[in-house]
Amino acid sequence: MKNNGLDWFRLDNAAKIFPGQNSRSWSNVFRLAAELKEEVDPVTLEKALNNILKRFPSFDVRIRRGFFWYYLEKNPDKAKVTPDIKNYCYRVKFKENDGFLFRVYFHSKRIAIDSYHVVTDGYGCTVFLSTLIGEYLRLKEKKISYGEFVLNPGDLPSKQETEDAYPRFADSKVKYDRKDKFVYHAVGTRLPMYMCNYTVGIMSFEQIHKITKGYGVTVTEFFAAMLLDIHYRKQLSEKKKQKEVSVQIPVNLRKFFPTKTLRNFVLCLRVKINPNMGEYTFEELLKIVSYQLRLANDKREVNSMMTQNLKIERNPIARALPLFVKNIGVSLAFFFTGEQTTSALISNIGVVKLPEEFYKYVEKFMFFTGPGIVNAARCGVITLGDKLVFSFSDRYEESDIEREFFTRLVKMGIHVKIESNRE
Amino acid sequence: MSYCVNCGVELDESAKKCALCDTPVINPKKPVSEEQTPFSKIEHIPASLNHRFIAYIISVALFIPNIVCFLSNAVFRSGGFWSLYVNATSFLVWVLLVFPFFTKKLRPYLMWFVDTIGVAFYVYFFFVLGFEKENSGWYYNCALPIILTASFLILIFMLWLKRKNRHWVLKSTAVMIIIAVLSLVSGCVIEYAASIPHAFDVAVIIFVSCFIAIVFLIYCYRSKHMRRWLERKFFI
Repeated sequence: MKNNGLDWFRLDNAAKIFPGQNSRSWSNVFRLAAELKEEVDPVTLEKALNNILKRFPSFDVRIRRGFFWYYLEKNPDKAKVTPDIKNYCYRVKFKENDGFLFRVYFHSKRIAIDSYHVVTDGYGCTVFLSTLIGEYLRLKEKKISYGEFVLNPGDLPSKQETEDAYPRFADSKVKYDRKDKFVYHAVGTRLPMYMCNYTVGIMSFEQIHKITKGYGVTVTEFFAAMLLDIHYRKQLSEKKKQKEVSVQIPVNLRKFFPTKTLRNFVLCLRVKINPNMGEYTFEELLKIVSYQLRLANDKREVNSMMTQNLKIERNPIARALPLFVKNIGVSLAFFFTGEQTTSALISNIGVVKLPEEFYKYVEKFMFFTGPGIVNAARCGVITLGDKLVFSFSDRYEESDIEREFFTRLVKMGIHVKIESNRE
Repeated sequence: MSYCVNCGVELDESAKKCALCDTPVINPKKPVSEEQTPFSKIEHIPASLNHRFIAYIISVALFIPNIVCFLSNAVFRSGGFWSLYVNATSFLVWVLLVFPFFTKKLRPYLMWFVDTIGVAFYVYFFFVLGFEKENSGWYYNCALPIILTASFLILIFMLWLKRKNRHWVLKSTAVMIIIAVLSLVSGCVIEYAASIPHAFDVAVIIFVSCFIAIVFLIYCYRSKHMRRWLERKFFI
C-alpha cells in the first residue's frame, strides 16, 4: 500500500455522525485563523500547504461512500488557497474544492483554515495551522525551529497521529446514562441560510486569568457560567414557560489518554440549570458550573461516555444497515440529542504553544466554531501569548447576547477590542 | 483607536458603527479607514443555495410544455381553446410557487400583491375564457369581489402579525374571524349578485359557528380560571 499504509481511513467514532447530518442548514465546519504581523503571500502559502500535506495524511483525503460506512481516501489533487470570504464555515460539499475537506483562505495578514469536523478536532487543526505557518515562514526565509504545536514537515507521520483513539481507550464497564431534555434557545431574526454573523472580542489573558482566579474557577468555567447566566436571564425576561438552560463544552481527551492523534478525540459535556428550581445569582452559577464540570470532566466519567458511544457503532444490527438507512437514523438522533439539548456552546482550545521565534511573526490566533441551527451563541476561545480571542458565531441578526457578554467583561475592568463581519 | 460610547469596547479602525449596539463611530481625530477590514467583504453563495437558478430552471421546464400546448392548439383548433386550461394552471403554479424564489429576500407584501393578481387572472382565464365565454358578468359581480375581500383580509392579518409575536390562541382567533367575515361577504355576493338562493343562509350558519368558536377562544385566552379548568379536565 502507498503512503506508509495510510491511503484510506475509516471515519473515527466522533466523525461518523457528521456526514449523515451534512445539510444546507448544518454542517459541522469550524475555523482556525492566525494573524501574522505582515501581509500574507498566497503563492508561498499554497506551496507551504502542499509541502506539509504529506506530513498530515489524515488531512490529505477526500470522503467516499461505502455500502455500509463513509470512508476517507488519499486525495490525488493538490490543495489550493483562495481569498477569504465573509460567510466562512459554510457547508462542505464532498465534490467541491477537489474533494478536500478543509479550505485554506488568506486575507491581508490572515491565514485561515475552515475544517470539516470529520477530518480533525480543534487541537488537530491548531497543529496543522501552526505547522503551515512554520513552513510558510521557512519558505519566506525566516529562521524557525520545530516543537510544541509545530511539526517538522520532513518527518514521517507516525501511526498514532492517524489513529482513531476512541477504541484504544474506551474500556469502561459502566453504562453511561444519557438524559437530555429539550432546552431553551435564544432565537431571533434568522439571517439567510448561507450567512452567519461573527463577532470577536480580543482581550488580555492575564486580566481574565486574574478575575477567574479570584472566583476560584478556570477560564472555561467562567465563560460557560457567563453564557449560562445570560441565557437564564434572557429567558426570565421573555416571561414564557421556563425550560432548562444548558451550555455544551467539548473537552480534549488527550489530557486523560496519552495519544498523539490528529483526528477527532473530543467529547462534549454539558452544564445546565433548571430555572424552575428558583433564582440563581452569577456567583451561584459559577459554583454550579464549576462543580458540574469538575464532576463530569473525570477520566472514568468520560471513559464511560466514550464506551457508550462506541457501543452504538459496534452494534451488529447498526453495522449491518446500509449507509442511507444509517444516515436517516443519524439525522433523527441528532434532532433529539443535538442542538435541541443545548442553549449555547463554548469550545476552548486553550493556550497555543509555539517555539519562541514564532511570536515575532504571529500576532494572534482566532477560533470560530461555525454556525449552528438554532443556537445564537456558539463560542470559540483560543489564546496565544497574552491575547485571548473570544468569538461568537451567530445565525441571527440580533447581537444582544454578544453585547451583554462583552459589556459585562468591560464592567469587570477588562479591555475588550471588538471585530466583526457585521456591517 | 475608537471606543463605543454605549458599550465601552474598543472598535476596529475600519468600523463605521459598533458591532454590538449599532452606535455610529464619530471620531474627528481618527476618521474611519476602510483600507483594511478585519473580515473579508466577499460573500460566497454556495451553488446549491442559488434559488434563482433553480427558479429559472423550473420556469423553463414549465414554459416548454406550455408553448408546445399553445402551438398545437393553434394548429388543431377543432377542440376549442383547450390549451388555455394548461396555460392558466401553469401560470398560477408559477406565480404561487416559483416566483417567490426570484426575490433575494422573502417579500411578503410583494407576494401578496402578485398572488392576488395571479388568482384573479387565473379565475378569469380558466372559467370565463374557458367555460363561460358568453356570460362573464358573474366574474365581475361575484368572483372578483370575493377574491379581493379575501386578499384584503389576508393583508390585514399579515400587518397584525408583523407588529408583534402573537399567542397561538390569538392567531387561531384571527383565522376564525377571517373565515367568518369572508363567509358573510361571499354569502351576500353569491345570493344577491349571482342570484343563487339560500347562499346567505349557509353563510350565516358558518358565521355563527365561527363566532361561537371566537368567543370561546377569547374567553380561554383571557380567563386563567378557564385555562386551568381545561388543563385539569383534558390533560394527557
